[in-house]
Amino acid sequence: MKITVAQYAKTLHESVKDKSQKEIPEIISGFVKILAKNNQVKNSGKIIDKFSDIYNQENGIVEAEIASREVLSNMLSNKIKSFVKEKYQAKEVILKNIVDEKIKGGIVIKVGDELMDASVSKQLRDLKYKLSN
Amino acid sequence: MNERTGKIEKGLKDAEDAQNKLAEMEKKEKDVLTKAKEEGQKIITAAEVTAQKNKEDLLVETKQQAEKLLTDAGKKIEEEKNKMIGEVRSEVAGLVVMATEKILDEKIDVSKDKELIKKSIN
Repeated sequence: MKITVAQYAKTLHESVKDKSQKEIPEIISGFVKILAKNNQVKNSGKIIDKFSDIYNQENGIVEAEIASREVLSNMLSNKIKSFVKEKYQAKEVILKNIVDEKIKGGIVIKVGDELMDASVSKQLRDLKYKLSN
Repeated sequence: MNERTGKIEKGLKDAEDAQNKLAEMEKKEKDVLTKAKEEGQKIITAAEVTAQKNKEDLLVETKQQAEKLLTDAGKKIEEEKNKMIGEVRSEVAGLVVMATEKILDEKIDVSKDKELIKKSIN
């Protein structure tokens, strides 16, 4: 039976959960050996991503990708963090700010598969659509 | 005398028979002619009916083709019109957006951008 990426990630999470910092490297080393034995090292990136999802979900952590025209100030970053925290009922929010001049202004917030597009470029696209139809 | 009388009577009888045969043949000929005329008339009538039907069918078909041509032409004109309107609209929309974009590029400075961001998360 083939073990899925999600199953590997879940197993790894269960293995390191509640373990001390000292014990973790040894657990990881054993896990990598199992991956190598099962010819699954190629999927290690996906397994780590899935592990992060499980870890974040369990610990109420939300990762948000914010696209803006300029680098966000600390004040704005904190405001966005609060917004995301409230919207997703999160304990902690990890923000990743991506500078994208093409959005022309405003922000685009991406959390998981959800996208909140409050950019100027989106409003321009909407305007063009309305005028064309 | 008797022999002569017999000859005469036979002659008369032969003449009468010949007359009867002629009459019978004439009747037969007349019957054949009548029948031929009737058959001929039937053929003519059938031909006329077929010709009339063909004429009507052709007329209906021609009418249908003409109607289809008109409908198709109407549709094509409508499609072309809509396509043209769509193209013009799209062109105008593109120009409006381009102009708006240019204005916004000049108008949205750092502080305006901050305001926009704040508005979107409030």
